[in-house]
Formats: sequence, C-alpha cells, structure tokens
Amino acid sequence: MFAASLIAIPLISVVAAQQVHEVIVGGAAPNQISYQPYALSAAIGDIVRFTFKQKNHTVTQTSFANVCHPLLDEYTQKPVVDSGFQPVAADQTSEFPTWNYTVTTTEPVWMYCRQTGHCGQGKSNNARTSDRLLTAF
Amino acid sequence: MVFSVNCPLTGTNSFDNFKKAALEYGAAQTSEEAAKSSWVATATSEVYGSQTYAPVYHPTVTDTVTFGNESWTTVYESYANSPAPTPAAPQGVEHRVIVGNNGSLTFDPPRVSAAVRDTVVSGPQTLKTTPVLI
Repeated sequence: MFAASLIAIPLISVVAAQQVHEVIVGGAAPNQISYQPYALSAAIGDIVRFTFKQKNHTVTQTSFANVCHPLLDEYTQKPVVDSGFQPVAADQTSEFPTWNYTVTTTEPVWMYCRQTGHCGQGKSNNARTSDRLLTAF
Repeated sequence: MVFSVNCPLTGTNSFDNFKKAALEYGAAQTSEEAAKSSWVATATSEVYGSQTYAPVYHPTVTDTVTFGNESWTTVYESYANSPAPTPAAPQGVEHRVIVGNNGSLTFDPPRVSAAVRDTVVSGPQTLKTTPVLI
C-alpha cells in the first residue's frame, strides 16, 4: 500500500502537465515512409499530435502479436484507433492535416500505417531503439 | 512504418522486435507477390466457349497434416482464402460464452472466431478453482 502511493504521486504530477508530443508522419525523401520519432514515452492524458506530410498515410492501432493488422473492437469489428487516410500532395507546403491521439494507458500502444505495403517497410539499419530512447529520455 | 507509445526499452516486446516483426511481414508479402506474378506469367488463360478469363492465382501447396495419431502429406491447388483441407484440430476448440453476465443483456464475449468442429458453450470460463479467502 505504501509503495503504491509512492508510485502514484509522480504519475499525478505528470498528468496535470498534459504534455503534447509532436510526431511527423511521412514527408519528403528519405522520410516518406516513417514516423518521426518512431517511439516515445507518454503519461496518461498526454496528447500525441500526428502531423501528416507528403504521401497518404494512416495511424492505426495494431497489436504486437498480429503486427500489420488493425486491432479491432470486439463489438463493432472496426479499428479501435484509426486516423483514417490523410492524403497530402507532393507539392503541399503548409496546412498539413493533424490528428490527435490521447494516451489512455501506460501499457505499450502499437501503431502502424495501413496504406498497402507501408507497414513492412522502413529502415532496418537504425541504431538500436533502446539506445536512442535511453538518450532521448 | 510502425510507431509506438510507451514501448519497453528491452525485452521480447521492445520496439526493435516489433519493427522486426513488421519488416518480416513486409518481406513475406513481397515474396508472396513475386511468387504470384511469376505464377501468373506462366499460367494460361481460362477459355469457356467464346469467353476468355485471366488466370486466377491458385498455387500448388504441399502440406503435412497431422490428425490424431496419423500424419500424411497432401498436395493440392489452393485459391486465396480457401478453407483448410482438413480440420486444424481433431477435437475442435471449446469457446465459452457467458450469457447475461451480472444480470446484463449481453453475450460475453460478443463474438468468437470458430473453425469447423469447434463448439460454442454457454457458461463461465473457469469454475474449477475453489475460491480463496483473502
């Protein structure tokens, strides 16, 4: 009980701040098929604001066990979290569409782009994510 | 292209492993597409009287089927999304659905994915363990 209250105090203080995390989706080469950053840590109540740049992408929730497939709602059989397609022309320079995702859990949330072929694409020669995350936070 | 909020830094469900799974999925899709296009390239069109139809991808599949104590190899031609030639499990899987849980007008879970031979049973998931007093 005592340990639980110790953990709860820092969490509450973070929730009150309600941070906005910016993520760029797509963009000019070589970032056309990427989320930047591709991982972040957020507290409950934080907002992740996705700004869609060139190409036609989505932000759709998936699961670790069934990667590249949408996580479906049990009742409606529709994706639980989905931004829908956000097409951006190659010559567009301003007024990029944005979509907000409010963090509702401290558990890992996995997202992918459901545009055909996009999920399985990406640079595999990146530095280990764990190293990058450790330096970023 | 994948993204994660609050992924663990290390361990089995780290972002690195998630991305690896996504890339493997992408590679599998690409090789499947390649196999499909090479199959279509050699296939002949279906001709019915005066009508000619483009060939539909149905590769030859070699599969080892185990059913009970028996095991045999089967070779068949399969269209996309065809059902499995034999049951996946001899006994089937039991799906438990709670009807009207806690006095509510619901089924829990509201849907199940069932194969041939599976049974859908109404009733609680587990009643085998005795309650433990805390």
